Amino acid sequence: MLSTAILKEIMEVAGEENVITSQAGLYTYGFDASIHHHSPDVVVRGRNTAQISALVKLANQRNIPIVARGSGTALSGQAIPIHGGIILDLSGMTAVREVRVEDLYCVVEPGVIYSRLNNQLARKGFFFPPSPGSADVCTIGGMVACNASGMRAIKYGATRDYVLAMEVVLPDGKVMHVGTNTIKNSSGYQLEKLMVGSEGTLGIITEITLRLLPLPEKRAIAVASFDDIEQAGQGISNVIASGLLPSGLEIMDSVCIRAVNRSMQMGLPECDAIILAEVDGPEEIVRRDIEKVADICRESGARDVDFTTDEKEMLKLWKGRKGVLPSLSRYGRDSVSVSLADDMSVPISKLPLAIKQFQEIAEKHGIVIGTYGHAGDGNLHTKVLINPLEEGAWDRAEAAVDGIYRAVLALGGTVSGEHGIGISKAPWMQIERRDSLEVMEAIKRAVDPQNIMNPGKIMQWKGSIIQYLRYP
Amino acid sequence: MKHLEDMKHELMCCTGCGYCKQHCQTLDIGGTETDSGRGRVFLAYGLLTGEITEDQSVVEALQRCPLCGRCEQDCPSTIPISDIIQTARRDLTAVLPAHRKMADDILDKGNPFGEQPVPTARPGEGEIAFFAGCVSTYQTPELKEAALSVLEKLDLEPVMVDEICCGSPLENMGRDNGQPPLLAERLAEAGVQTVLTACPSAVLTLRETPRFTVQHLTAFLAEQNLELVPLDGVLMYHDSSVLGRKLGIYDPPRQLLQQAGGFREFTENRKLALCCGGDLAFQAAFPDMAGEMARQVMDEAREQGAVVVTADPHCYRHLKGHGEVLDIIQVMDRCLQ
Repeated sequence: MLSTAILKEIMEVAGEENVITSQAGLYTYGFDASIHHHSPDVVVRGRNTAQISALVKLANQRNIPIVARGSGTALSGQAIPIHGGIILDLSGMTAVREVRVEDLYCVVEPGVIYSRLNNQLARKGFFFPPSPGSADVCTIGGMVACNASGMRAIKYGATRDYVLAMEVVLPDGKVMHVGTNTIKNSSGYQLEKLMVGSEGTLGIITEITLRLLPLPEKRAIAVASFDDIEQAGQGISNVIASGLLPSGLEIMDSVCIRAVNRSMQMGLPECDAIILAEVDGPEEIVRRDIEKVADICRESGARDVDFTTDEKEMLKLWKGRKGVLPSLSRYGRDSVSVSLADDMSVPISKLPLAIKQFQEIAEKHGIVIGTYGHAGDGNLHTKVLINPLEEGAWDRAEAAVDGIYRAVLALGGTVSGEHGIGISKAPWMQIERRDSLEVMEAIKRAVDPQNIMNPGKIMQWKGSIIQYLRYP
Repeated sequence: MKHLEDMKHELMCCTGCGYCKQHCQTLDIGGTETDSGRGRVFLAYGLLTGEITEDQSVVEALQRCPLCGRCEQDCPSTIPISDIIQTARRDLTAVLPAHRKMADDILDKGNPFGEQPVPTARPGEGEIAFFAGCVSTYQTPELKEAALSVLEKLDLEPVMVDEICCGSPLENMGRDNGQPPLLAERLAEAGVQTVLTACPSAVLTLRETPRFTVQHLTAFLAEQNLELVPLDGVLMYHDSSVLGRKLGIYDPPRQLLQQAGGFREFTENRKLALCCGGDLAFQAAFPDMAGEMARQVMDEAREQGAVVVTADPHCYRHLKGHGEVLDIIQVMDRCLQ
């Protein structure tokens, strides 16, 4: 709890109209899209760099935790203020300050919604490619904080690959500009790249310069259905090994197919697994490549392959794919989908083995998991389906998650491909990065000696992840 | 929390993905998490689990939603967000002053506007009744006149009873609605089998009454093979949230407007249409936000130099204050010889 005197100080520096202390406000800002919840002591709506700088300076002086957030769509608890303090809501900072296609960059405030930016850029024939599943609701600031990516990472990479420069309010309130609005720079430590994926633990990002790419002329999507998910995994590896570079290469298992068919009436083929492959580029190349993808899928054992260049049909297919995660909540009568073990990556050729091991681990612990993901870059999503009210369900889920992450690490993979660490992946990230934890901690201490920036997350998390649960 | 108990599984199923925030107009205007569908679902969840208790901020946040259902179109978990919010309202004990007045007026005077009751009954008995609804009777009499004129041109002389409000505002603000049985009694006494009304909220409220069938006037007129004289000018048809998303009536008004010389669609139409904020309970308690929502609708029509056509007296009443608007029944009246 913050004292009335401190709240008054916060109102003075942030503007009273930007401060929320109501029960409804504090409670709702204690959620993101993860399994966790904890209410902040106060919510401040960020308006501009000067206001944020003054607020952060005050928080530092008074030793108050401060957690920045955009739309609150993080899946691992990055935006949960586990130690209370200030939630800094940046979703109101929505200006696209500059679009310079002749210099291949744009400058935005952190609260700009990803798809709204791309709608604006598309009018000039350009785009910012990472394409996360939450594209229509997530903010650029959140994407940068978590190094988000999505379905097109196989060809276009992740958010970090597009961040050229940024303005950051450091924990003492100083404003730092890092990077430049140039395509290349070799000028000292690239701190802008360090800020990407730091999940609000090093500073508050108040402006971002993003690199742009020209929109591809044409796209096509192939849907290949398989009677055996391992064959589908092999199909993915075969497409990659052929030298093709699809702009998306997705896999969905039978659990996920049934879930989206049921809740979104997608009409996807009911089988053990499907591959969705997208290629883009000039029209003649797209036609050639999509046929080649279809041939490889057939040779890999697909029982059926269809492809389309119809924009509406493609949009529907991607919508279905993006809807897998929430649709899984409708899979069972008593179970719901909880965000655990959600975005690990393995070397692409290890994909079939990883999928097989995940299924065995789920069976061993008596839980259902749905597996899907951006298989073309080795990034898999699983969703754990449990009855959150059932005795022992969370323990079984945590044991399964432990098994899954250990299997991923044994295969040479990473616990997070694109969502970030927050709380729900922290213990296994600490195993994965054990050699570099000390350096990460030293960086954190150097930049944020008071430990006010999103404290308790990533390398600072201790113990079981089944804490601060949003479920009763 | 007796009512929210029924929503427990739905509340658990919400993954909190936030996709419902994409097109939420109250979020767009209000800007905070509590102004979103997800925020309100979280509040319902908190009330159910006892993590929060009812206070002014919770009551206001739960009431500051027109229940338009647009958010549900974006929810991949098919969470019945409006039902959850409406159910949470039923568990609230505090009542907003504007809602208290409206509820008292409905119960005391039979209409939500505090007007002296006016006799509406026409002598006679028959199988078909026309129910004008409280908005047309007390606030926009031009709509009632137009409807009666249209029915007369079709040689129909429907039964009319002394009307009372169907009680839809009571339901929307989360109170018990005892109005439909009272109304049903009057209609049954007149031997009515079918009720025609131009008010979608009345269809929604009365359709559960087993004694008669209720039909929206556009659905009825679309079945009549009308010969219409085309109207001059550019019309844009706006889907009411109740007629569209709640009742699924999209084609009959479009068919009628096509016969009346054509119309333009809003960029967001049918299931995806913007809400105008005209819900009576919402508009009474949050006039500024409701006004902004109306402006969002009217701005697009204004840019196209078009007159908005609605098929919902609640929308007509509200939009009228923000620009040029017609109810589809007025269009029909002008086009029917």
